[in-house]
Amino acid sequence: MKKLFLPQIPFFLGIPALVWQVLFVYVPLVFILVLSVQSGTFESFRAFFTAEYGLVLMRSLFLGLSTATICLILAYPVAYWIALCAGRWKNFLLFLLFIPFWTNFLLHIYAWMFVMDRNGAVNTVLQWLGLIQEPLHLLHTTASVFVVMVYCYTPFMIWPIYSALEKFDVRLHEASSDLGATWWQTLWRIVIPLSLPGIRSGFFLVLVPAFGEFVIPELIGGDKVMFAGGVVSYYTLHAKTSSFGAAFTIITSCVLCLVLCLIYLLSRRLMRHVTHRKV
Amino acid sequence: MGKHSLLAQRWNIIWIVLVYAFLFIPIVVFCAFSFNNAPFPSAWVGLTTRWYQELFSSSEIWHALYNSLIVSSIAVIFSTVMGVFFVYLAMQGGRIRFMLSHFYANLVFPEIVLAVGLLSLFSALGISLGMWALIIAHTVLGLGYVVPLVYDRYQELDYRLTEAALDLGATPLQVFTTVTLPLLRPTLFSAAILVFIVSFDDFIFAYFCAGSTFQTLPLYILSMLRTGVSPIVNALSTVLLVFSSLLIVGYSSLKTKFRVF
Amino acid sequence: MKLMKKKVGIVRSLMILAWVVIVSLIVFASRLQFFKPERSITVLAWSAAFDRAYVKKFEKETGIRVHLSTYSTNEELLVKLQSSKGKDYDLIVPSDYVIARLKNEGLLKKLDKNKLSFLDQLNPLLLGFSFDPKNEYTIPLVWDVFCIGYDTNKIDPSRIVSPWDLVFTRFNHHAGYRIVMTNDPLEAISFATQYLFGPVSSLSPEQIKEVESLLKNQKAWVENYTNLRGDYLLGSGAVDAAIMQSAEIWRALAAFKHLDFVIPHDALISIEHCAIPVGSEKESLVYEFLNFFYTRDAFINNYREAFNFPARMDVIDALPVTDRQRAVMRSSPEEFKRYSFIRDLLPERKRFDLWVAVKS
Repeated sequence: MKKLFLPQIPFFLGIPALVWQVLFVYVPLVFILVLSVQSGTFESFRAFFTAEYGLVLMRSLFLGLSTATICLILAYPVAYWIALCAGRWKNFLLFLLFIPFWTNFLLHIYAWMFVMDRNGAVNTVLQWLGLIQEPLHLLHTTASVFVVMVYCYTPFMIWPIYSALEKFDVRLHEASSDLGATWWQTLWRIVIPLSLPGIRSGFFLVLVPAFGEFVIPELIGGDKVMFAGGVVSYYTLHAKTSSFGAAFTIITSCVLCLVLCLIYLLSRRLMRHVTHRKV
Repeated sequence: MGKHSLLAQRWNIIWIVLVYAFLFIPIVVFCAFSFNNAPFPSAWVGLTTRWYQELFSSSEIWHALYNSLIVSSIAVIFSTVMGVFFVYLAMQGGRIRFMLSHFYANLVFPEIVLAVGLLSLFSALGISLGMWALIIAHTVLGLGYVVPLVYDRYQELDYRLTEAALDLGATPLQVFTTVTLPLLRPTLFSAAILVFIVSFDDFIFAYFCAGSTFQTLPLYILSMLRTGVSPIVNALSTVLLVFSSLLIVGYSSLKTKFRVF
Repeated sequence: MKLMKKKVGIVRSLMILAWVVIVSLIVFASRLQFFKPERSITVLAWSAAFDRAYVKKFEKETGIRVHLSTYSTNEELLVKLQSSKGKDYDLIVPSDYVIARLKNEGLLKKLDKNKLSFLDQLNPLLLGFSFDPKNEYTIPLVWDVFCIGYDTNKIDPSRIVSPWDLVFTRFNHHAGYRIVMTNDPLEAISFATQYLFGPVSSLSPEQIKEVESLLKNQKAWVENYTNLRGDYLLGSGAVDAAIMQSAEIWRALAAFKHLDFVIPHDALISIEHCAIPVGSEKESLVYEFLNFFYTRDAFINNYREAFNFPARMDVIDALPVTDRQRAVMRSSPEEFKRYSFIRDLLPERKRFDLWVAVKS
């Protein structure tokens, strides 16, 4: 008996993680599926095939994609510089980056609520400088929502791009400049293509949570517009309509999955296309 | 990098400064104004520490903080222990090794989907929402961080050390406890800190799974944000910021490469 | 060899099963309440009904432990009570419009009026409604009128003809006019219906469309949809007017001196009642709780924390409010007759679909 059990001790110790994963990740996901198809019909799905809910999904998608794009534009130069040019400042800059990355998400939102308030820092400074007479209307606008979204998610974009660029072989840069390419050409033809996997993971790392975001539009945007996350949270937290909540969760997940697949395929084509050009 | 890159460098430095300013100025402002003697956002009135006094005397905040600490600590313990044993099991070979990739899913799925799933499951099974429901959710999150990190480091370990130990007559379990585990210790510590911070700051799982009676610090902050801006939140934010920074210093002093993707 | 593999397979399956059992025990252990002392009650109320510090005072003085649960919507309360068949809670604080349903489903227990010492102190206007004519099952605790607060620097009170205009029209006729609107679809639809059609009890499809277009048009001058931040936004000058519960308006009036309020003569009200679910076995403890929280001091403390209108009449004179506010809190019978309750005019899903359409 001992011979049978003793060698299996590693299994006994190691398997709870997998059990946990199955019980608390896969079973819930299956559960959502089962819950949404209540009494064997797709009625809860059909209820969402209306113009309003389609608009909600489109808007969330637009928010996610534009946030990711703006973050990319902001983050790439920063990641580039830290990975390739920073030298002895590298660790310090990374440390500075860790701080917003690891402080509570809600505190970032609060910081902007405080700063953009009618009597907040921006308005008081501008009035003190005499640039404006009346306080600016900053909070509860679409623009402010974008600003705060970008603010919260840029560190998520910097990180993977930095990791990808860190592995970049600087000699390639030297080789290309020796062959007569300008810095700009080297950037677009060599550095960016090689860092595309990092760009892609950063994009996903921002797109996925930004798509499901509902707190920032509520607190900063004045809750004037409905997003996918808001619909999901409303339906799931009101127990009577839980099958509808499950159905909408599945619809949003499918939409997101579709978009992610499209972007993935696009990025693969891009990488292949660019690699061919280099040769 | 070549002479022609110097111009690009100058332009780049300006961009970096702007981006970092963008990232930091709001934080600096609200920390500074936590000492402002005004109950609402306004120009600088005077220096005071009364918001900190009100903060430290509020029993609700301490209760929420206590809850957050308990949940995060237990989640960290569960996920690190389960994670490291699982990686050990997986590295023994066989089909289990292919199961490692399952854990990457925890970070790929939107948190809201996982939270909704857990909520539905708990409600249907009659499991009351609250502390343990949240611990379960955070352990799921933790596993998604621990397993990839430990697996990464495990692969970098020198297999000759384990082979030598086996040759000297140790059982696989002894090898694990006396050789592998000490080598993995820095990774485990950094993974633990990472999971702790993620769990401590998480609010999406808490929003769905904590029920109406259990309040964690992020939920408390959310309820305060919903009722309006108050300098007590400034004070709380400053304290949390200092706390996170100290943890970060601790984390980076362990000098382990952080690679999730 | 194959037998060995089979044996290993069985052992492994047993181990997995063992872990599943262990995990389930942890998970279900949270359900068991080993240390639930006998002298304790479970209360289900909304967050501002009972001040937690005062609850602690009650616990200290009587030795009865109180487990205070909160709900965010009355539907949630209904579901919780239905699923537990009225057993999980000893005291609930529902709003007026669910009481009829709770009563019809037999979820409420009759109150022993002899055990309650404060009944003659209650405001008679709050008693005897159709959902509980003799108040056999419920007693009012606090109530609210939906008022419209406004900034006196921006709005000239003499120009206000109908208070609803402040909310549903661009009152100041310039692009900078902004208001705070409620974030609860139930309340929003009730307001719109009252403004358009008066106190009807149901809506025809054409009427629903009118309500939807009114709310959609209104969005142009809504600064923020919120139930909690209105007082701050009004006071800081971010909005010109705000339609909120009287508790929030009273809070704003206490904090900012340049604000004032108006009440439509056909305003909407909401009365929170205390009731005992049918499955509760701790009535005597609940009566102690009620007697404690219906004292003058309790109501004064409740007002100080949450600014709720008390159900007890004699408290009103002791509160730090203006005479005009006092008159509202007492309310004459004629005024009260013209008020209406918030009603759920649409089923929940339709209500939310409308709200999504408004916010699209």
